[in-house]
Amino acid sequence: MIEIAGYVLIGIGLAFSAIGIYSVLFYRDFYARVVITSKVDTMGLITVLFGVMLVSGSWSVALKLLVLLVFDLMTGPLATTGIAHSAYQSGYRIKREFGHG
Amino acid sequence: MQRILNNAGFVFLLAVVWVILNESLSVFMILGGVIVGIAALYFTNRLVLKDDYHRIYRVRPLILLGYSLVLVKEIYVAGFHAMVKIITRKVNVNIVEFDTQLKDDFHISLLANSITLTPGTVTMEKSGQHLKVIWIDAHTDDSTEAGREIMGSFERLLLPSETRLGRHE
Repeated sequence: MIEIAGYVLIGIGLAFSAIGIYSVLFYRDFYARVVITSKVDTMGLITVLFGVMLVSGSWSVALKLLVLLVFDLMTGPLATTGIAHSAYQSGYRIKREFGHG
Repeated sequence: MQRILNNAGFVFLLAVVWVILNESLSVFMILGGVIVGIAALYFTNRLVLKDDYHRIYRVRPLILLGYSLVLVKEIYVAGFHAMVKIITRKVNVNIVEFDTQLKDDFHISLLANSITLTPGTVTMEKSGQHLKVIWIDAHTDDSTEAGREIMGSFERLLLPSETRLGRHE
């Protein structure tokens, strides 16, 4: 039962990532892409890792994955911020999407 | 000895990680974890940091635990909201600027990283208490309004921790 729940979570996480990756390809504006990328690697990864924790069924593996998740949550935003910051420094400005908004 | 006690929370955290990585819960392992933790903190203090560890990272591990639970909840709430916006193509990307009330540098970076982790917002620049954030759903230009909406719950969590720790020593 727990295993099935784990597989469902993995599926949901992969769906999050798929939507994110599709949107990255769809949008034209650089900043929109950065924001969407950060969504993929937090929401998708957290969901997938929780799913794997449930599937693994052992405390040691689950706790190791938790440590992995914590390290990713600490270092992931630094990369995103670095990319956005350097883009802003080199003069990228916001483009309007699809002529509205 | 006093310095070890000051960092007791962090030593405990490092020992827990050590035990998890070694996959065995025995007295020997816990002791080893404590010793490795103290050594790691000592060398970080001596060689990497300019000030004492607990004076730079002035946050308690227990507060961090509660904070990360709220963070995961916020990630999902904001994530579903952002996903609907992205799929329906109703994004309005803009750069908003606002000030935070937090004063401690470590707390501000924690806040900035949390904003980046939350789907829909990415911190771009931090200078002092001033933050520049890319917002995918920018429906307001007002800086206080935007600040309240983007960082409201995180700031509320971190403020008491900062005032309680204070500027002692």
